Amino acid sequence: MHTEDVNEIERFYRSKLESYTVEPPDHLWEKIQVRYQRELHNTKLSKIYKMAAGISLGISAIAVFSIMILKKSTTENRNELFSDSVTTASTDTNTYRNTDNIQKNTPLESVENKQSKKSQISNRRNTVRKMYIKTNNTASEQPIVTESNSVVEENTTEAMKDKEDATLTKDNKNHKEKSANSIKDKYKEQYKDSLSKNPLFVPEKK
Amino acid sequence: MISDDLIRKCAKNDASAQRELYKLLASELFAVCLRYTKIRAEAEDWLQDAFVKIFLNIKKYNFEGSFEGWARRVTVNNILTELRKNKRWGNVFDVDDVIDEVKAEESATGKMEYDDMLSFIQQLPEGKRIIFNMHVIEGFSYKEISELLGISEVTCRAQVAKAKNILIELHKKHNKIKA
Repeated sequence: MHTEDVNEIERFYRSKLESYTVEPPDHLWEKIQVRYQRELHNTKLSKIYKMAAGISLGISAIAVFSIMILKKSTTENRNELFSDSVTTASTDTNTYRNTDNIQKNTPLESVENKQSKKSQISNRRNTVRKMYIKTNNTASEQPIVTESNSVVEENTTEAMKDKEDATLTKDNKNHKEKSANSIKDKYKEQYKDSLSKNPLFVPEKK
Repeated sequence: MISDDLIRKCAKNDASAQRELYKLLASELFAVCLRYTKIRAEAEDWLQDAFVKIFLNIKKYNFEGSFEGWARRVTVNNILTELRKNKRWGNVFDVDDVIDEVKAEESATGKMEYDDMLSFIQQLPEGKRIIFNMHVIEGFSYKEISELLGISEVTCRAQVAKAKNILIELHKKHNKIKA
């Protein structure tokens, strides 16, 4: 055997040691069994832990998701009710836009709140109408009884009529004054010379 | 030869089948462990670990190639993991190791015995021993060794060459004693 050769030694070791075996001690199998059982138990436990962790993760995810959906739906509902009240308030009376004193609805007491809101809005409407009539009905100076909506409406129509009449008579007056002034101016032009001589000049009737 | 039926039984945690498999493979795998360490107790620990891993992962064996080869790979990988854990190959690869005293023993028959060969391998410095075993006996390529150990292929080649030179020296001395 020439082990000096480097290539030879590689081949020699490979061929000899590939099939080389050493008998292990007898007690080794028992140790292996004990360790294997322990490892198997640990792997089973870890599987159970993983499953439990997965289930709890899933449950928590579902809970979070459902809470999010619930929150979203309640906010949407609240916005819807709030926007309804605002639109009714603004369409009924354009002058009334202050909605701060209107209570916001909650899902539990939505019906009650709706009713109270309606009554609030109607009260507001009446007061605004009263104010409007008072300011625009100074010419008539009639006492306005606004106990109910019908009375208020009647008063409003009457007030409007009076106002129209007043404006008509005002226009007529203006027109008459204008025509009188124009006639005056005409005469002044015609009798300019005689008027300059005598300021109390009165033209003779033809 | 290990039958597929025995492997399937082992996969089903059949204790008797596992015992039989141990009987068939233990001596071969123990020799592998002994090649990587001088300490017998350490080799026994490695063999235990290797068998536990074989039994736990036997379901992953896809019946392609020999089961002995697969079990051998599991054993070597386990040894490498253990060596890596203990950082056994820190600086050993780049230091030019010198053997102070050759402990070649004369065999009773005067021939080169397996035990002599094993003792020569065990006398190699740790880094050179690992790479020599992996390349020459287990058949790992230099690329595989470099990836597994995290060193360059050039270093692997150099370490194998140095290991061979040391073994030649040991054989020379052994032959002189014999003569």
